[in-house]
Amino acid sequence: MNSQLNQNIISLFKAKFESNCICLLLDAYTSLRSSGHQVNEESENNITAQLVGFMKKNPLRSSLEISLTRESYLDSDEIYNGLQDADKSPRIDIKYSVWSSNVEIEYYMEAKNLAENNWIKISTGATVDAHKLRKRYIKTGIDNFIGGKYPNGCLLGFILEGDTAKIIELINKILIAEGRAKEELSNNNSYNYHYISKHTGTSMPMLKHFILDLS
Amino acid sequence: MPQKQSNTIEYWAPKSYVKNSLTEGVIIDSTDIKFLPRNECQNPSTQIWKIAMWGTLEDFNLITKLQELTTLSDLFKTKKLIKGLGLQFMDSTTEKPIRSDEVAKLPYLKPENIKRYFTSRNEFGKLIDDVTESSALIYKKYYKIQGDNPLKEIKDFRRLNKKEVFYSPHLIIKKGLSDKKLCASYLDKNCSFNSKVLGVAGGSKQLLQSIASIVNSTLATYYLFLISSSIGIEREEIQTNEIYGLPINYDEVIYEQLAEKSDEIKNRITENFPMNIDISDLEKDINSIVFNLFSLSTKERILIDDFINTSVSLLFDGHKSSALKPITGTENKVYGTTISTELTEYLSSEKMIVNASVFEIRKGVPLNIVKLTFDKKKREIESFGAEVYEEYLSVINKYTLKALAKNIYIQKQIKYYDGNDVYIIKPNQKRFWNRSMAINDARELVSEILKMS
Repeated sequence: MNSQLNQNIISLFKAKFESNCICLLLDAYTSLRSSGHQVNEESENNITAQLVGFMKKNPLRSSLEISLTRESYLDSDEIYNGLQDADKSPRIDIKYSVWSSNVEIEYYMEAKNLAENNWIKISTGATVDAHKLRKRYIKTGIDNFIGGKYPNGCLLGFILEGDTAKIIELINKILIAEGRAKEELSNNNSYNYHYISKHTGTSMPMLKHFILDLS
Repeated sequence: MPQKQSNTIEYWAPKSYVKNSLTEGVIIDSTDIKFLPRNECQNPSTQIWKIAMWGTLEDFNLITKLQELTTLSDLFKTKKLIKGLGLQFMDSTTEKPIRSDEVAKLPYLKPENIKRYFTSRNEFGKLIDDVTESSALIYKKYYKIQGDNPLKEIKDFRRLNKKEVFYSPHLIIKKGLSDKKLCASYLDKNCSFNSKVLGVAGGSKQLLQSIASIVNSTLATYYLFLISSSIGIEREEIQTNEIYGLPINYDEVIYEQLAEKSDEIKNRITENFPMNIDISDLEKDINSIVFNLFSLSTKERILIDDFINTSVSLLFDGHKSSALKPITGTENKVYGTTISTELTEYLSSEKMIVNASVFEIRKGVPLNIVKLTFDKKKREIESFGAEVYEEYLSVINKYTLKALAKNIYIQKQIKYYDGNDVYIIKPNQKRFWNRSMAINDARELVSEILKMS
């Protein structure tokens, strides 16, 4: 006896937990679209809050006993030991967790707004810089995951304006310009709205992206 | 204050009457150690402490779900029913007795004579039958009855609530239990009763019979036992506000079915009076109809049934509880089938099926073992011989007790992972191997596997 479960079985369970979290998200996205709420003028936090609201109401969530937390602090041991300022602790948009006995398992999602073209918000008259959003998606989205600042999870892109394929192309252009062509986003057929990017040698060798059209 | 706050709080609810042949002292079973969500524990009005004393997190989730429904009190309001506790006899604190010739003339029903579902008029007596010696002296003094002359009649009371609840058709709900069960009864004759009984009147026969059936159901027992501030703590009695807060749904078709079953019970009781007749088949039907009324899932029904058969049995019967008895081969197979189905459903993968093999259990063996195998094909549940494992299980049993302090031990349960197999080893007692335990074990296994690297 080797006191260890077959690695393939462990991987299958981990994939299932991740897919449960993603299913909840995609169900919530469908519900948000069907509700007719116009969210393209909203902040990432407001859109995330609405998605979390739909996920919390989903009976699948209660049957899977998944708890949801919005804006969850990712406190490190340094913060717990008082060596770092807790106010500077990173926060991530959605935390999914299940626990049984004293074992807790988490999965995280970080959301970023995206656009193809610069556009003006009707509510405030402010101009939204689409290029800045895409740069931010890479800098504070992809890089936070592959740099280990964000743990196990995936990225959400909320499209507020423009065409998904075109936005992906523009994100990839930035990555190529930064000498990161190998990290381009490519379409993946396992889920709708699903893209992946590869980041060999990092803490997240493959990152999942869900690009949700809310325009 | 710990530096890193866990999301859960460890809560121990030991059942001290559970003994172990290996040692003297308090044995705390690992299933009596619960990990409760900290945010819920911090809620000042939470009922999680009481629920976790006898139940699990699944029970807490189901109770929370039930509490989102309307309550018995809401139903009383919408159906314009009159409710109130029964009368109170005069005692030493009575300053202004309330006279009622009308109530004095009614037959009286003692709480201990109330039968579940239907109470025949043959159980009725007189008010005077329920007066204590000290109360009789107070009445004699009040009525100026001299010496040994007996108290013959009572017309004055310390408290009279709503008299309407004494008139039929009416429903009565006992605050105390009858044979460890909640007791509600439909009455088709007028009668008074005391304040240990809640009376309800004003509705149709069908409505009152249905409410009685719901209160008598395993679902209501499950709910009220878990949230009751008295039961399992100080005395076996339900508070009136707890009865009013009982979750309830209204569905005319289902209420008709419940009333029909209630009539069948009434007929059977009446035809066989004064003999006690078995109505367990009809009670089973009623429990099932009530589950339908609340649209409970299969898992939720299992959770409730197992709670009644295990936790309620442990609460009332202690070390004599059937929950502590060794399991049978059939129960072992049901556990194996349930846990393997749960895990297979969780994975929902065509590539991976979980099959179970069970130990050919015998009475004297202290532990039981179930083996789960991750496989590509579904296989029928298999049994493996006692001779190989029996010897090992007796040895393993010596190591399942962990001394925590002087005379305090924790009874551990063992999960062993070996390639495509998982072995689950626990004490050979029914309470560890029922269907809800299989569902709980499946959930724990998933969590443990997800945490593996």
